[in-house]
Amino acid sequence: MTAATWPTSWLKGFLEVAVLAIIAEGETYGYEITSQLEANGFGAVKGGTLYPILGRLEEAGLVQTEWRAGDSGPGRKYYRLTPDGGAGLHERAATWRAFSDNLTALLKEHS
Amino acid sequence: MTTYTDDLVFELRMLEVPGTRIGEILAEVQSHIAETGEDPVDAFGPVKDYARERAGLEVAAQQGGFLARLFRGHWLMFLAGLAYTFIAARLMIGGGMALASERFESPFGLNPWAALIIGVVLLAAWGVWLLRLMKADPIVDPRTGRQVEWDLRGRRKDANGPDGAARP
Repeated sequence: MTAATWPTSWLKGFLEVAVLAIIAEGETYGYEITSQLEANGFGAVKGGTLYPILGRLEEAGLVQTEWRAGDSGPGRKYYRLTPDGGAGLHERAATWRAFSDNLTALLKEHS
Repeated sequence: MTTYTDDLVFELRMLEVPGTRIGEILAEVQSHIAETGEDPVDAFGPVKDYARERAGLEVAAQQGGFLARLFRGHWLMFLAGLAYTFIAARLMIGGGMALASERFESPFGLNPWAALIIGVVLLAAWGVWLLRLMKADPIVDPRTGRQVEWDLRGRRKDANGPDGAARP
């Protein structure tokens, strides 16, 4: 399912895990992450939403970054998962599955 | 674009985000805008909001006591600085005037020479402290490792530099 706009509070809560999962697929940079988020049905996520999340992931040591010169223009900041990031993603995936199972069970009669 | 990033630097400075971090945030905005061709306000939102969002990283990490928060709030620093400068100037000028003519009394009942010297020393210390403060935390561009230079109007000197894609 795709939606142009998910409830803001949902995105606020869960976008970080989605971003982490995208970075886990391979080294990537900001603009590519927004494209991936859109392709995965999360809608068009703005830079103003994405970069603070990336900043928090970096602060927490879940991703490491490197600036590299682009073909043209002001260069790109590449993001790569750290071992801590891999472990963190694994843990969050399990927690999310448990949470979503509970909610799905609860909502069964209403959907 | 240039205006957006310049304003962003100013706001981040006001929120006491470290210079190296400001350099990162600045480079991210430039890179993203160059890639997408978006308007910076569309992509990152109003300057003040985005600065506050990014400053949240640091603010949360350095929550201090009541006094620390007062000082971070700038106004107490401002008042203290004002009083300090006033007293120092009063000592220097008063001392100087008392030396020049007997009609003037030396400030705070001090020896005129002492008042003059203390005033000069206090003002010089203030200036040195300010200069060091400005140099202590430079904004560093993570791509070049070089310090970002600013002119007196708060505009970047390298605004037309080689990395300046899409700058008017």
